[in-house]
Amino acid sequence: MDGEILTEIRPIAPAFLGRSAGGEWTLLGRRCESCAEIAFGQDGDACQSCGSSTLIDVCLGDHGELWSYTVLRNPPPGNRRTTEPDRLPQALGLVEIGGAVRVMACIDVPVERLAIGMPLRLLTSELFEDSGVSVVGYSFGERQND
Amino acid sequence: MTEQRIFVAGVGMHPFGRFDGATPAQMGRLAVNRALADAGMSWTDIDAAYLASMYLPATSGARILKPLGANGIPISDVEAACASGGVALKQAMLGLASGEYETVAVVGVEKMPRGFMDPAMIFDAWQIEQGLAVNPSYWAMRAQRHMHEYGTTETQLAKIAVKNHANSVHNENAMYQKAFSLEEVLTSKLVCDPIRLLEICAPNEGAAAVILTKGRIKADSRPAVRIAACTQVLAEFSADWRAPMHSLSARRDDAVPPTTRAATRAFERAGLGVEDVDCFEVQDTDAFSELEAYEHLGLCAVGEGGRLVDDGVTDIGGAKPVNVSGGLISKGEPVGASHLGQVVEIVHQLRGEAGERQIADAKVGLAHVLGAAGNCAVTILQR
Repeated sequence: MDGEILTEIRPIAPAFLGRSAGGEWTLLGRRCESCAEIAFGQDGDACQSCGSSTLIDVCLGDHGELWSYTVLRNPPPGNRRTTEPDRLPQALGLVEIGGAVRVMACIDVPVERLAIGMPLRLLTSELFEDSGVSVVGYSFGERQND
Repeated sequence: MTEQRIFVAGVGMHPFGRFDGATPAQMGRLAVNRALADAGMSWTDIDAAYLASMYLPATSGARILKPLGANGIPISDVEAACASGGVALKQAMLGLASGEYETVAVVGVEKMPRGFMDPAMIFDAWQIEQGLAVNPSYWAMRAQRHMHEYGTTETQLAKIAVKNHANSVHNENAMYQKAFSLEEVLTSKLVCDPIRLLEICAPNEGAAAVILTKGRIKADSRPAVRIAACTQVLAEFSADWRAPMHSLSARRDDAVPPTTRAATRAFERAGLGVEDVDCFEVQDTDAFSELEAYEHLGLCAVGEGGRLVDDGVTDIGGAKPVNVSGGLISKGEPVGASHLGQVVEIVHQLRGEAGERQIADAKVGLAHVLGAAGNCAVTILQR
């Protein structure tokens, strides 16, 4: 409706981004009971490392470190409904979480500050609106060492 | 081993590049007709055909090849992203080895749009929506990490591009055929740091065809070239950053990469080692991908790819020449045709027909492709 404030929020990928028990945004994953391997996302049927189907849903939390990165110099291709103008250059990185898993994400850090190993924290923002629902995506930003 | 007896009867190419107005069917049939002429054969000699492509629609094999003669032979479409040509070749080898066929045609054809590859081909919608589906970014992140861990430099990466572009000057089938200086490469536009425009392959158009047959080719005075091995693997869990791209294990850095697995198996099948190979055509999607291939194929230890470049080992005059055709960096990458184009180059090298880029007395060549989902194929040819 015109002028109505959006109250309904939906993550862009509910198997990958959700809320912790405390209501905070968190990345989602699964831990294998057999080999303890952790995967990003709760969409698989079996552990990709050992094949076990005994998987436990876990929150991956909102902290990580930059394992590697690149800088996009052109707008990302494909069908994107984001209402935000593309910020270029835009960093893209692999964020290592808990020494267990590396997750791909946009890195909202000025290019000149990018450094492998830098502490990062999860950020969320509205990507676009879909039938009155605010669709939220994730990225990582700089975190002060704690 | 049945693979010991499969020979390359003929090879042919439609150049790689941009050919406005040329249809995939025209390009594919030109390559096939050239391969048939090279083999001294006609389409009626072919028992089965395999068409490798990533971007063409359903039944493209039949559409492209049936006009050569509607003789009812089986024509199969094969797709495995950048490894499509290698996987088609593998299927053809199996068809021959099974005893079902005596002579087969393997054809790669592609006509890709300009610019980045369509992300919907290999990414999920949520990844595209978040701007994560930028194909070169994955290689670039690997390159950045390699530089961090081993001290590999931008100059070393640029030298690979300089080498490949220089090699392509003598290849009439390459897209660019133009040499670039180190400075030109290092000042070309960044695409995804640290990868620059002149260090990356362009998706483009073209076709390549290989005719395989069992037994020795009669009445052919040229050196007989046979497929000593053709292997195909898919990356195991976390053995390659392509699969799964969004979630990589931080605990499995020791996993064996698909290139190593495919090459190891190929060397075992061929009864050869990397020291026996005189020329390599490898997946140089970008300069770093070529450097990583050196390490994963066993040309040097992991971390020493940069040193190999500095020592000129992979130059056309070096001990282990890589991508003397110009590689995909200079030829462009029509993905379905890329591996078969590599095979065409190696066949010319082993026959001594490679002209100004000929490697003296080349007896063994290796072709390697690697792409989305960790699809990897390695073919070893021997005369």
